[in-house]
Amino acid sequence: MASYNNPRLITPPREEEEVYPYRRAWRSVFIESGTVIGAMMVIFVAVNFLALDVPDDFRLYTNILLAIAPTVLWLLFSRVPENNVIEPRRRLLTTFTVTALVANAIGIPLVNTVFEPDAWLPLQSQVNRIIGYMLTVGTLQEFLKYIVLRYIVWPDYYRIRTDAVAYGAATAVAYAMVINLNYVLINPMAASDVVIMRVFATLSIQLVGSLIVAFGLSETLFSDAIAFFMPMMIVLAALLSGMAIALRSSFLNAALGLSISAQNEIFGLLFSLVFYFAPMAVFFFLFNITERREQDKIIGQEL
Amino acid sequence: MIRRTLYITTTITLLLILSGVWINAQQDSGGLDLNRIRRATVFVIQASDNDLDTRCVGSGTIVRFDGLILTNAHNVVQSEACPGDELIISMSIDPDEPPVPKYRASIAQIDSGLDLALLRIDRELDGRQIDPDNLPILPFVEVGNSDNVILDETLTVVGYPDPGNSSTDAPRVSIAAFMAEPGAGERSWFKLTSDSGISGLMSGGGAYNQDGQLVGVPTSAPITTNTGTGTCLQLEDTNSDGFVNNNDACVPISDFVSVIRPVNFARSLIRSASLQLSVESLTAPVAQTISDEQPTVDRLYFATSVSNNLSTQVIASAPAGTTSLYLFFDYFNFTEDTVYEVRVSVDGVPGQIFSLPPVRWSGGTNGLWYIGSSGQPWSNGLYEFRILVNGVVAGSSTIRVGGVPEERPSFSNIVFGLKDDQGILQGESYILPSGDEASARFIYRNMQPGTEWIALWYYNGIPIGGTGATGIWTSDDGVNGARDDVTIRPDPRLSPGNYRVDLYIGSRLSVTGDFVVAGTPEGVLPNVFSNIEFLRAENAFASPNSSPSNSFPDGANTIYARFDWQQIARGTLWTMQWLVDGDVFYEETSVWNTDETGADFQVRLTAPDGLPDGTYTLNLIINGVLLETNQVSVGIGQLEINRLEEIGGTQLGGQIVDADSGDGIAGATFILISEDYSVADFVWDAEQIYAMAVADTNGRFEIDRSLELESPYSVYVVAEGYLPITQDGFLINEENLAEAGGSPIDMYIPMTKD
Amino acid sequence: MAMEVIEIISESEGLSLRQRWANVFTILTCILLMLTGLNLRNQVLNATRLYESPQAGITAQYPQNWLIDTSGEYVFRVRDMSRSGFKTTFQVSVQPVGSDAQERNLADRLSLDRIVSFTDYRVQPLEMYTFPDGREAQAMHYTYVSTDASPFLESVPTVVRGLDVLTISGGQAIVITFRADADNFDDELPRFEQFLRQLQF
Repeated sequence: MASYNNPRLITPPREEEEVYPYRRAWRSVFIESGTVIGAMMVIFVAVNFLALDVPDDFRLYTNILLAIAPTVLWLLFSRVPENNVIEPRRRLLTTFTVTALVANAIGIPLVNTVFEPDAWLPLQSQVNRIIGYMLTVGTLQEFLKYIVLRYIVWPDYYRIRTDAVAYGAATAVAYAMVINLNYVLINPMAASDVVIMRVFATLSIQLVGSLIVAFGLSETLFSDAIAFFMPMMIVLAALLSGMAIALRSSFLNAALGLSISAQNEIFGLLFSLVFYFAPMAVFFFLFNITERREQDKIIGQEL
Repeated sequence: MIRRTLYITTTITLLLILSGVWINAQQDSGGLDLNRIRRATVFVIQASDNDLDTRCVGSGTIVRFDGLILTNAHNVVQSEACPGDELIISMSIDPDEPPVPKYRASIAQIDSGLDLALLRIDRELDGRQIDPDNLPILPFVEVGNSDNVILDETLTVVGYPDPGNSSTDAPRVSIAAFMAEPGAGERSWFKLTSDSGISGLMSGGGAYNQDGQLVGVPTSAPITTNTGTGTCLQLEDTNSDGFVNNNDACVPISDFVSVIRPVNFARSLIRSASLQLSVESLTAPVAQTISDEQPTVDRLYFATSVSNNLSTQVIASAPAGTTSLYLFFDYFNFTEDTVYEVRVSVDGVPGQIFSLPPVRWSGGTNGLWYIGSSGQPWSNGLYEFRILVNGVVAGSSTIRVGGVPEERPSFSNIVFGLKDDQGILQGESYILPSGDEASARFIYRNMQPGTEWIALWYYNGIPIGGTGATGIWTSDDGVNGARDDVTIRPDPRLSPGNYRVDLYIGSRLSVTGDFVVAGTPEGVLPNVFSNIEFLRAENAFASPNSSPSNSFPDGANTIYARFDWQQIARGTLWTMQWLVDGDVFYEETSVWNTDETGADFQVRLTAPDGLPDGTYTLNLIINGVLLETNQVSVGIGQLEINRLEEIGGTQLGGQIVDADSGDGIAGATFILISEDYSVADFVWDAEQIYAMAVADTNGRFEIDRSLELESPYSVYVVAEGYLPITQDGFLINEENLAEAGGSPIDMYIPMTKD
Repeated sequence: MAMEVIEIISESEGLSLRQRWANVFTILTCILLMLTGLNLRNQVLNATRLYESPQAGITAQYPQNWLIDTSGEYVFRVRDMSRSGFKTTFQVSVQPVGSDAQERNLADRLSLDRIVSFTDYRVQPLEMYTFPDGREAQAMHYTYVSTDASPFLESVPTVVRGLDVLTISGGQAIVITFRADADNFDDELPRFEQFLRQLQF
C-alpha cells in the first residue's frame, strides 16, 4: 500500500530587488550640512541666550574642531560609506586632498597678496563689491576647484551625474576647511557662535559654487552641452560666491548705537541659510531633471 | 492689629529709604561732572637737574582746552624749599589710576602774592616743543564766579591726596567763614571747617560748586624753611648713592588745607594767559635800595566795619551779637616771599574758624593791612589775635566781644577833601591834589563837653602839625554830628605823598584815616594822570611807527601807551589796570618810583602772534580812585569767540573692535561729520568734519570736542580691511543720553570683515 | 562564497571636440575674469580726485577717499584715514625763500624746524629728483617716531619714513611731502610717484 508525506513547499521566486550601487551623494550632502546647521543653531542659542561659551583656555582647540567639523562629517557620511557600496567612487580622498593643497598653496596666497580685496573693496558700493569679489575671489576659487576636478577625476571617474555632486562636494569641503582653518588661526579667541556661523557660511558658499561647477561638468560630459556652457557655469558660480561674500558681511555689519552697537547676527544667519537652501534646491532639482531626462531618453532608445 | 502695624512700619520704612535714594539722586545729579573734573586735574611735579629729580609736588587744574593749568604759585616757583627748574605735568589716563607724566609746562602768568600761577603745556615729556595745533583738546573745567559762593555752601575739592598710588580724591567741604583782606574785600579767602581733612598735596587743585564750576583753589601753607610746617618725604635716590635716606633731597608736603583762594583772583591771570598778552612798563624807575630788615607789624587795632580799605571806627570792644570784626595793622619790610599767619584764640582756646593759616603775603612792602571776617556772629569772649610773620610772632592784640554796646564818645567815618572859598568841604575822597591844605570830615557821637580830643597828622609816617579845633570838646560842638574843621596846612605846602590823621579821644585812638596827595587841582578829582595815548608798532622790539589813535582797524602787533603825570611823590602806591572787552587781564599796584612830574610814561602791550582783536582799556588808579582812563580798539574791536572754550555738551568716546575676535582695532578712525552734511554728502573734506578721533592700540578713541545735544551729526567709522559703519541723524538728546549712562558716552563699535 | 566585485572601468574614449573647447573656454574665461578683476582693483586703488589752488598755482590729483585738509600751514594735505597705524600723508606746502637760497638751504630749514618737534628725527643725504617735465629738484629722505597726541590713549609709537621733494620755482619753495609708516613706505611709494607725476605747479 503507498503513503504520501506533506508536500514540500517551495517559496515562490521573488523578483530581484535592484540595489542602488552608488552612495547617495545628495543625501550625504544634506546630512552633512544639516548637521552643521543644527550645531550652529545650538551653539548660537547657547552663546547668545544662555550665556554659555567655551573657556578661553580651550577656545582655540574648540574653534579648530569647529573649523574641521564639516571635514569630519564628510569623512563620516561621504567617504567612509563609499566602502560599503557596490560602485564606490574612487579618488574621492585624492580630490579632497589636492583641493585643500591647492587652496592653501595658491588660492589663499593669491587672494591675500595679489587681489587684496581688503584693501579696496570695503569702501566700495554694494554693486562694486559684488562685482569685485566675483571677479577676484569668486572666480579664483571656482577656477581652482574646476581645475582639480577636471584633471583629477573628470571625465574618467564620472559615471553618473551624481558623481559630479560627490566630487564637487569633496572640493567644496576641502576648500572650506582651508579657509576656515585660516580664519580660526587668525582669530583664535573668536566666540564659538561667531566661528560656527562663519564655518557654515563658508561651507555653504563653497558648496553652492562647487555644485554649479559640478553641474557644468556633468552636463558637458553627459549631455554634451555647448562649449560655452561650462564657462557660463563658472561665471555663475563666481557671481554667486561674490554676492554671498559681499552681502553676508553687509547684513552682518553693525548698526550704530549710542552705547553698544552689535552685529546683526540674526540677519547674517538668515542670509547664510537662504543662500544655502535656495541654490541647493535649484540645482538639486536641475540634477534630478536632467537625470530623469537622460533615463527617459535611454528608455526611449531601448524601446 | 500686629499685621496693620507691620504694614504701616514697612510702608514708612520704604518711603524713607526711597526718599533717601531720591535725595541722593538729586544730590548726585545736577551739573557736577566729576569724571570730567578728575580728568582735568593734573599732578604737578617740580623737578631739577638733568635727572629730573622730584623736588616739589602739588595739584593743578586745566582751565582751558589748550593746556592752561591753574595751580598755586608755591608749587611751581623756584625757591629754597622748591629749587626745581622743570615743571612736569602728570595726568591720569584712567581716573581711577595714579597719574603718569605726560608733558612739560612753563609758567605763563604768576602772582606770588596771591599764590596763584598759570602754567602752559608747551613741551612733550622728552622736552620737544609741542606745535600748539597738534596739542589735543584737553579736558578743562569751567571757571565760575566765586562771589556767588555762600556761607555753609558745600564744595567739592578735587586734587591728588598723596604722591603715591592714589588717583584723584574728591572730598566735600563746607565754607565756615569768609576772610577779608584789602583788595578783595570780604572774600579774600574761603575758610573751611576744621574737620575738612584736605591733604596738603591737594593744594593747587580745584574747589567746585554743585554746578561743577571751579570757584576756588585750595591753598596750603607755602613750603618754606621758616614756617616749619608740613612733612618731607624721601622718595628718590637724588644723590645716586644707591640708598634713599636723609642724605637725599626730600619732597615737602604741606599740612592740611584749610583755606581756599577764590577763583575770581585768577580771572585776570587766566585771561592774559589765554590771550598771551603781556604788559611791560618801559619808563625806567629810579634805582632804589631794597631794605633787608625783617618784616614787622605795628599799631594793631580793631574795627567792625571797613570803608575804602580803612577802618570806619577804632573800637576797644565789640558788643554781643557782633557779626564782623577786623584787625588792622601797619606792616613794614614785607616781601612776596613773606609768609604770614593769624592765629585767633577765644578765651585762651585756639579758634580755627577765624584764624588764617600760613599764606603768602599779597600786599605791598609797607602800608596798612587788615584781616577779618563778617557775615556770621562772633561768640562772646576775649579774642586774642596773634600775627606771625615767617613763623615768628610779630604782634598781637586782644579784644573782648560781649556785653551791651557802649555809649561812650566816639569818632568815625573820616573822609578828606578841600575847602572851597565858602569853607565847605569838597571832594570827600582819599586822594587830594597838592596845594595849601587838606581837611578831614568825621562823625562824632556821645561827645560830652569837657572831653579832651586831639588830631595828629603824619606825612609819610612823620608827624606834622595841623590846625583845627582840637583840645577840649565844648557844648557848642554838640553831642552827635559831623565836623570838618580838622585841617592840615603844612609849611610850605601840602606836598605830594602819603598822609595820615589819627583822632584821639583822651588817650584812646578813635578813628584814623589815610589819604594820598598827588596831582594838581582840577575839578572834583585831582589831575594826576593825563593825555593817555596809544601808538602802534610792528613788533615788541620796534619803536612805535604810527601817530596816536584810538582805533587800529587793521590790527596791531604791539601797542604802546603813554601818558603824562603830575605831582606824584615817590612811594605813592598807584595801580595800572588793563582790560579787554571790559574784562581785566592785568592789574598791578606798585610804588611810584620815578620823577614827581613828567611826560610820556611808556607802557607796552604785546602778544607773541599779535594782539587779538578787541577793545583795550587802560585805567590809572590811586587809592581805589579811578583818575584817568582811555581805550583803543584793535581790529574789529571785539574778541573772537572761540567755541572750543565753551564748556557744555557731551563727551564721546569708546572702543572700536573686531566683531569676530573682540580685539581693539588700532588706527580705526571715528569721524563725526558736521550737522550740515550727510554721509552721502561727505567727500572726505576736513571742512565737513566736526570732530575726528583715531583709535589707540586697544581700539579706544576719544572725541576731544563736546557734542551738542539735539544736533544731528553723521558718523563714519572706517578701518583698513573692515566694512565702514555709517549713520546719518546721529542725535544725542537728554533721553538717550540718560539711557547711555550720561556723559561721557562710551560706545562699543564692532566692525565686520568680509 | 563571498563574491568579489570586479570593477571594469573603461578607459576614456577621449573627449569630444566640444568638450575640449569647453575646457579651453573655461580656462580662458577664468583668466579673463581675473585679469578684469585685477584691472578693477587697480582702477579703484588708483582712483583720484582733483584739487586746484589758483592762489598757489597748484593742481593735483590725490587718491580718492583720502581726507583733504587745507587749514594748516600748507597748501593742502591728504591722508589715508582708513590706514591703520600712521596715516599715509601727501602734503604740498609753499614757503618764501630768498633769491640766493637753494634747495639745500630749504632742506636745512625744514630739518631744524622738525628736530624740535619730531621725536628721533633723522635725515638722509639729499639726492637729485627730476620731474616729468624735466624740472629738477632735490629729494630728502628722513625718519622719525610718531606718537598719538592724546594723553588719554595708549598708543605704541610708530616709525615714520618721510620723503620731501624740494624745488624752488618763481621765488618760492615748493615742498612736496610724503610720509608713511616705515613698514608700508615702499608699498605706498608708487602711489606717491603717480601723485608727483600728475602734480602741476
